[in-house]
Amino acid sequence: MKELLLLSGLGILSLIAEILNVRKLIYLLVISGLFLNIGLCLHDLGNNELVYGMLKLDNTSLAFTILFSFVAILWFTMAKSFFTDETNLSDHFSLVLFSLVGVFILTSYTHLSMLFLGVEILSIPVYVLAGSDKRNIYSNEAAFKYFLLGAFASGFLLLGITFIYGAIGSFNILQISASSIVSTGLSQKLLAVGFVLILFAFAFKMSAVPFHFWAPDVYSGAPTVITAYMSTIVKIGAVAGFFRLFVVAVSSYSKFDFYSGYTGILLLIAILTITVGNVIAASQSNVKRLLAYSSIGHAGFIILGVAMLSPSTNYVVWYYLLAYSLSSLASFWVLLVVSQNDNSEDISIFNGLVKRNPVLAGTMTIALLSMAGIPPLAGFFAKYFVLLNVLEKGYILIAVIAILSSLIGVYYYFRIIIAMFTGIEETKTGIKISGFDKLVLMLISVILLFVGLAPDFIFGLIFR
Amino acid sequence: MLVLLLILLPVVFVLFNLLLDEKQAKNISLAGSLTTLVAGLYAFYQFSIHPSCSCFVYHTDWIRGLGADFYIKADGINIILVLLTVLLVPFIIQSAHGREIKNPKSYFSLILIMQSALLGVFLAKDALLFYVFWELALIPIYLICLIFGGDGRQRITFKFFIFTLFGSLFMLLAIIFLWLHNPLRTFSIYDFYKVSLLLTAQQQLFVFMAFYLAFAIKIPIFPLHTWQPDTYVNAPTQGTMLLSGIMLKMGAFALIIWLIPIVPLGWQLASKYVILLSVISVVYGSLMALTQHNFKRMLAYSSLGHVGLIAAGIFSWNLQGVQGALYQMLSHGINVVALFFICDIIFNRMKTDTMQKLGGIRNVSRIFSVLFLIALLGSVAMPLTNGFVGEFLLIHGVFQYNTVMAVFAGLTVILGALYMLRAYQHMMHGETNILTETFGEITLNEKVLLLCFAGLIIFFGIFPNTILHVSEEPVKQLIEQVHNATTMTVKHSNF
Repeated sequence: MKELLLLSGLGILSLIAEILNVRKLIYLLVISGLFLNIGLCLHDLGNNELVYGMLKLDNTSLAFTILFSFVAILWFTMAKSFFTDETNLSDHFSLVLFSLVGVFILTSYTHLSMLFLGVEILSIPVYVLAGSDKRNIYSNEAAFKYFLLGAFASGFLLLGITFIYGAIGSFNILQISASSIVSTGLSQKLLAVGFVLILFAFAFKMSAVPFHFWAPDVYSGAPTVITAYMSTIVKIGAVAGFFRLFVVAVSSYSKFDFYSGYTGILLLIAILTITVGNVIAASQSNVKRLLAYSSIGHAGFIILGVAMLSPSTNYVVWYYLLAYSLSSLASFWVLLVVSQNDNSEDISIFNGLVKRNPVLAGTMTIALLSMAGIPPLAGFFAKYFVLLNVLEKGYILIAVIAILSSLIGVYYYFRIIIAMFTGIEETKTGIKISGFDKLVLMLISVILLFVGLAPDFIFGLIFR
Repeated sequence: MLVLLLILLPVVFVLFNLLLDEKQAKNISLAGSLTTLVAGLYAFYQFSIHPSCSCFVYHTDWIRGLGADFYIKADGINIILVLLTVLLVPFIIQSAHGREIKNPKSYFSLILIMQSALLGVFLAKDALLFYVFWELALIPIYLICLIFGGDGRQRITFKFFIFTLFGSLFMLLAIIFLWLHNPLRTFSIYDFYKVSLLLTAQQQLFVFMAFYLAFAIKIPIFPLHTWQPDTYVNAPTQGTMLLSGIMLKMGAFALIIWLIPIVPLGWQLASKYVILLSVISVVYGSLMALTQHNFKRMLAYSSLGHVGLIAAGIFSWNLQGVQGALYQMLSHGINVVALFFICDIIFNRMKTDTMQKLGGIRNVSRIFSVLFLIALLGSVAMPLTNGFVGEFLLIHGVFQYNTVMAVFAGLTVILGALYMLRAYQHMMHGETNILTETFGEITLNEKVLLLCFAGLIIFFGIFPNTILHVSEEPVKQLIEQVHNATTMTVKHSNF
């Protein structure tokens, strides 16, 4: 409860910051509020607090909350310029914070109405933010496309919820799970359709193939900071929401006829997402689009991790999200700095970056290596844990496909690395970044290395 | 703790490197590698006195949920590779003395990181840790070749990277497969040795092929060698030395420890074919070396031939073969680094390494020609040089397996003498031409390094037992173990 109040309080505070005349302070307040949020979560671990039967703050949901708060802090550090250009400062803040509330609800809901609310609270601010570069026609297109298709997906979600209610007569996922034991008078068909519809809605939010068509346009149209936000925090929210529904509710129907069909669809989505995302990314020359497609590929790996339901799934998914969000954020950060400097997003802007700014090039290299899954960085272990579960279930073919796709990933990530180290730069001027930014970027690299070397330490901290 | 120190020392000096001035980078790194050398020599000495000292093991939890441990241990086999690594890296670093390097800080730091990762690969006794070090070793060498290499390096180094990564991913699959079949759910190599008893021959063959792919690409063995000549020629000298001197030993070493004892039945089924491939790579490498005009490229192909013989010796899996392989890994490392250094000396002065354009260097620098000859004789396995001991044992080992194979494998010695002496003739003998007249005397640094190499080559040629007696017992044990596993199943199937 405290976390929810804190996040919404911060959102409301930044909305009225103009009136209270504390605009200057708001940045600091938000960052410290997010730190406080992490502290609260760590304190609440193990309490299993129930909030009016609507939310349940169990350890998994708190772990996801800690993760997205941490990523949000880094994101705010990265997006400083987005908030300091003097226009619409406070509504940018409050939009982001409200969408964080949505993510929080998604990580901890027990009631399907909260699921819907969470998705909407998360999405609506992001629709606005995607269009926040008002004079850029592509930004407008992104917002419009995202909104239109997002609304469509919300329709699926609502329809799915209704079907489930029709089958079971309850919105509570714990009760839905319990109904699998006493299944008299249960309409399996209604339930199956309901679950599949919700899966489609989430597949849209996670930008999974074949519901991914909006992603590249929206990602490349939106301002880079918002793209980073969408590909990290929004994705954490969507995955956490789906994870909860799948683990708590859907998986308790594993003995029913429709379950194998459902997991079949899920696996198909995962495999398609991994291969299509990586294959298309390999042919991109716009780095922002490349990262967008690569994030689709990573979504596939995460879905695969969720689908391999095992006792360790929550670790696996959480760890993957941690590794992925940090490296993705770092790479978007570097892209942001470099593209602002050169006014382009083509891969050629990375030529010879190592001479123009070694810290940017170093961080980008580590982030890309991590996303490519090279040990001992976090990204390797993330993929490794997923593959371990896949092989444990005996899906050798899926493991081979996933491995070959990540080899394609190596190809396009290395194009950027090669450009940075050997390309001949078009503009010889160095790129300046502040000492603090430099520090945070190096911190992210160190975390990526450390999380890879000592995953046990992180697990011990969060999943006590 | 001593073994942990070996891995950490180079990294500590990398930190010094980052903190201190760019100009000092080479000296700091040299100091780092020399400190590691002292530690390594001490470890080797200690090991030959009482190998059961607890300082040779470091074992602690790493990822508890998976049963992966941080488990490193020196034994009679890997201590030789450790010796090779600590011995060569100071030479490799010092060989850059007086050469112009764009960005010495990162260059030498990468070499030291590479050293640390290589030591990790050799010492690791936990499969996951081994895999992590294995991949970790790839990154610095990739960056060394990418940043400091010659023209067209983007494409060549990328090919190298994709090749090796492709192989390693299959190794990863095999490791996970073994882990899933391990009732103890650990990655310890000693538990993996027991897993083989639970696997059918078919499963073992699958694991064998997955591992073989990774190791054969690294060694490299025909037909997976295509990345090698270009990468060697294109890499900066120190990169080539690291690749040919130490890195390709990773693959051969892994064959001994991580492949054959883990899947003995897989080896039994596949040994014919893998030895054949190794022998093909011996003959192919030697013949290709004969046709080269470029000295560096010739060395690359000759290296292919030599390591092919090492692999053949290992796959024949008898005492002479494996012992010879271990010894030859050490000798080949020393010889090939010396030869690449000579190549660098020539190229640095003449700006070419096309052999036909050179000639008569002997008349200009006598001492250089003598030292070159010693390194060359080591490489062509002249008695009283280190190469002789290794190649003799290797051919002896292959002979016990199959006579015909041994005859073809023996070609490496004959053809080796042919192309090496021909190269020497072209470059050193004959009349000096306009180009080679400017060769001048070699510098003191070059002289000292070459003298050290010559000393090592002759020392290991005369006293092979310093090395061989250390590895004899563990090699015998491993061979025994595999022998038991294979004969047991034969009885079983008869029954």
